[in-house]
Amino acid sequence: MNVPAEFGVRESDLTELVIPNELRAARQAEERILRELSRHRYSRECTFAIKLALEEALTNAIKHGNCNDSAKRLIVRFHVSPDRVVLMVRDEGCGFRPCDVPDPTAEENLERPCGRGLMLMHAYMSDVRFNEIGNEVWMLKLNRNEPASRTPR
Amino acid sequence: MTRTFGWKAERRERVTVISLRGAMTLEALAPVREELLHCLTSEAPDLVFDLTALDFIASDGLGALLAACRRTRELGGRARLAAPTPLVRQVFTLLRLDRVMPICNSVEDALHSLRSN
Repeated sequence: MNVPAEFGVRESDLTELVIPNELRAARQAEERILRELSRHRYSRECTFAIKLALEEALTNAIKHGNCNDSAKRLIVRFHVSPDRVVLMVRDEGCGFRPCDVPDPTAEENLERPCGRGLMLMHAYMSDVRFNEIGNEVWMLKLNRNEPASRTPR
Repeated sequence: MTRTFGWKAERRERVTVISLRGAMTLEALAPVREELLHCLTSEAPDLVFDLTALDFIASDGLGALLAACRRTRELGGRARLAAPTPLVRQVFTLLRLDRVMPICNSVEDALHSLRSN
């Protein structure tokens, strides 16, 4: 899946990291992206939102997508500019159907040990899209404090 | 925002107060998940999570707090959250977890709430 046209960046704008399916490698990728946010002076609130969505996407990919298999890999693509952040996380698993994930805020699901990551990604990002099989997620965060430097296409 | 995760537990009469600090990520949580549960005892079954210094929490951290809350109920106790930052509080309220673990403005308020109910 290519970057959605509505996200307003080109394929060539994206940096790609291929990392082992390990939490430490995921943290290092996350720290690299967070440094970019800091460089562009993203607000504390915006940084929290992006860190949360990225953490959820990476955790889902490692645990559920790649089933904690250290022989598998993750692909992370990102773009950070003053007005927007685009993130992509892809695992080597067989995917899932987002519509099958139960609503974690339903009374009967409030105490379930998992199932909240997807809702958090949607709540904290401007747009979230999965590929057809569900092993690749694209996320967009618009920095509302910055004038758009590029018209979404 | 990216302070190292840490925690400590102390007894306040019948209440176990667990103070969390830093970023509660899956990587930080993995080695201490079981320890969090083991510090809950029937001598101090009520539980307060002091979130004053917690900068960040994601769904795995929430799962760990819920597990502690369940353990507390098994021991006959009740759980409260105390003093989350606005960003952390929003995560709990968005997911309606404040219905499972009521949020108090301070540790003292949480202790008072447990004493008075």
